[in-house]
Amino acid sequence: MDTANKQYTNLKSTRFYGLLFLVCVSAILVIILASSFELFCIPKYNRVIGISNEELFLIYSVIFTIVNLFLLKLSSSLKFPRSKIRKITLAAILIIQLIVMSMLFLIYGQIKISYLYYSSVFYSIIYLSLASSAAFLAIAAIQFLRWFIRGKNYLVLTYAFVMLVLCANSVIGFVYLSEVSVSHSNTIKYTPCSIMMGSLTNPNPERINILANLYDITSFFSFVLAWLVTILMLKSYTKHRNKLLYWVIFALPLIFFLPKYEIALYYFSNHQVDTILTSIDLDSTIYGYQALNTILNSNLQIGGAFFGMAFLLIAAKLSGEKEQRKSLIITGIGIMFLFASKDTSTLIISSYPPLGAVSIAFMGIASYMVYAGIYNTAAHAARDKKLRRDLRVNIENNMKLLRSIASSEDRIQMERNVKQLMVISTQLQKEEDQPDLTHNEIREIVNDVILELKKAQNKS
Amino acid sequence: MRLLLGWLSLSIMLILSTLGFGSSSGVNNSAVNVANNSVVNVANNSAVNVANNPLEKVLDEFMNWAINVPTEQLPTEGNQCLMRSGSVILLWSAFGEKTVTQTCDISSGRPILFPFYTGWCDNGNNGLYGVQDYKKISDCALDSDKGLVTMQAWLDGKEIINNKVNNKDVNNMQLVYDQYPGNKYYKVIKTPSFFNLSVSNKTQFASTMYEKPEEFQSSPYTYKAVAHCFCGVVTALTPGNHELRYKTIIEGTAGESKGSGWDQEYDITYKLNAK
Repeated sequence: MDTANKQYTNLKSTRFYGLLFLVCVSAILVIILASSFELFCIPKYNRVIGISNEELFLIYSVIFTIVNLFLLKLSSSLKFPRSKIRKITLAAILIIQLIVMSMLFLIYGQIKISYLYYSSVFYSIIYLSLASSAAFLAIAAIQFLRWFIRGKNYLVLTYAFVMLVLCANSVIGFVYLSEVSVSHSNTIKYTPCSIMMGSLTNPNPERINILANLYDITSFFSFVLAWLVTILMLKSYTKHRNKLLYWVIFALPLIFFLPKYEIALYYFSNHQVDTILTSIDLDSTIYGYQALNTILNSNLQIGGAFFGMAFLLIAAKLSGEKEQRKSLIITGIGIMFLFASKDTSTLIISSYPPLGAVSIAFMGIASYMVYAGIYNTAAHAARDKKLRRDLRVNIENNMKLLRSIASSEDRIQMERNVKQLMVISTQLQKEEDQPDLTHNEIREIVNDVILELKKAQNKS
Repeated sequence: MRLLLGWLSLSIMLILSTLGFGSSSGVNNSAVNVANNSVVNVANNSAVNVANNPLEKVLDEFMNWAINVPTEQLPTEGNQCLMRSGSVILLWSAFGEKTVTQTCDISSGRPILFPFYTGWCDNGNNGLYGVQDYKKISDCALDSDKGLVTMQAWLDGKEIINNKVNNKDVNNMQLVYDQYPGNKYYKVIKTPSFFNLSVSNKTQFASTMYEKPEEFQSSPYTYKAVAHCFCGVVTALTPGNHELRYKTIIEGTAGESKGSGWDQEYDITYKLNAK
């Protein structure tokens, strides 16, 4: 019976991870493709599958909706501490994402009926996504800072900085795109790609250029900080493995990302630097240039996948702690989607249908997942730590029980002790406003405490 | 530690570059200000005439033609020869069109203007409607030509232009390199005052750029405009078959990263039969 149950649980978790993998891959693909200007400008008759941009927009919107519903369900399954803020944030993200989904379908409806769409709907998606992202990231940053104050862990502090920079990035992105929107018409109709590009002007160039630079600086810092903190988190994985291979893997996101900022060199460089850069540039006539170029241009998505991987690897290491594992998985997916979707480069173009709208729409849910995952991880870690401490004090004060634990070798006696302690731990929990523990989780914590105490008794 | 230092130096470089310290401090920068270089600058250009027309006048003509080319006449829509014949032959800019090949018959002996990168703004554009301030519209026009611009041209297979301009700061254009300094083909042109831009209902930009497209629905409407161009000029072609190819790479048009704004690469070849 036990074996059958175990097999069923394994099968269920395999199916869950398979589904999770499928969701992540399809979401990342949609994020990349929905903002790909190259793909957008390939005429329908030249495409491998003869599908129009309008049909593609609908497909992306449908996938976005399905992925969002899955992610919202996953995030809402987290056992949060009983706090008002968790209810408010969960309700907020639910409402925001539902509005965003409706707006995507509204744009498609407008296109189908009137052969145009209102840019106000497009900008509402952008503003909602960026504003909600900034809010959730700010809460996550505060959570990290509170965590740091308690534990003085500098890794935690670096994560707080990452969140703060990402939050600033979203705010700047919001202001930048609102400035850009001034040069856009109220209604967007079909125009060829060359006209779309030719129509890009800045009525307030000074302000827009400053905002674009600030956006790039914050993007750069958030990426490099996230890379640094991920490396530090994964450092332990290099201990017994091929260090060179691991460093190559670690360096890859940065190698993909930094050439994006080659332009900064021109403020300092001379002709020699330009010659070097030109010589290492890819020749557009080589086989597979387009594919390689698309990969190189997807540096944010690759970086995001790498950062998310750090959390997923740690989650895989936590074998017994189901809730903690789930929190870390949610955080990992959130970080992955957040970096992947924060590219605003195609949002400044008045394209028909709107390029990048589906991609940016992931920002809100991604930021929420980062916040919710981190908040839950912190709450559970704090709860377990406090419960262990309280249990230990309680047992140590009960001399009879302590002696019994120290001397009990047989299973029945041990079970009796565990049951007795589980009652105590349930009482301890009720006194605190902390997330509920399952029967198994309490049993695990109690067993851990008993083993620790037995060891201590044996030593003395 | 090395990693941290590397990251720190890159960050500082990025911040300084944004603040523009690199260009103003003169940190052993061999880039030359366009105004001091042999490349023709705006002031010198007023003295340059093409077929008895100052270059600014030719640019005015070019803009009045290019903006009113209907969508169906674009090379991307199948047109095999897009140009305007006059005292100066005006060729098309392949901005946003990647690789384009055109075959045209032209009159020999006439000068040809070919644009690498042109920008204009007028007081009918979204966000600029009714503006009478020359500086404001001029800033917008200059900004339309911003970025790191690499320009190359070949006439009958021989390279005649190969240079790179750093126009990230449009008020302080820097020449990164010029393989043929002082060559007679390369011109930087800017209209020194407003010119009249007549926009008709044929324009491709009606719905994307104009605040009130209804103004030119029934008859052409005139706006006040400013234009800027990184151009090339071939004074005259001898009778026979010729090939003029010009290629432009634009980077860094939004912020400090590549691939944003209107960053792009385009390449146009004209097979010209001069008679």
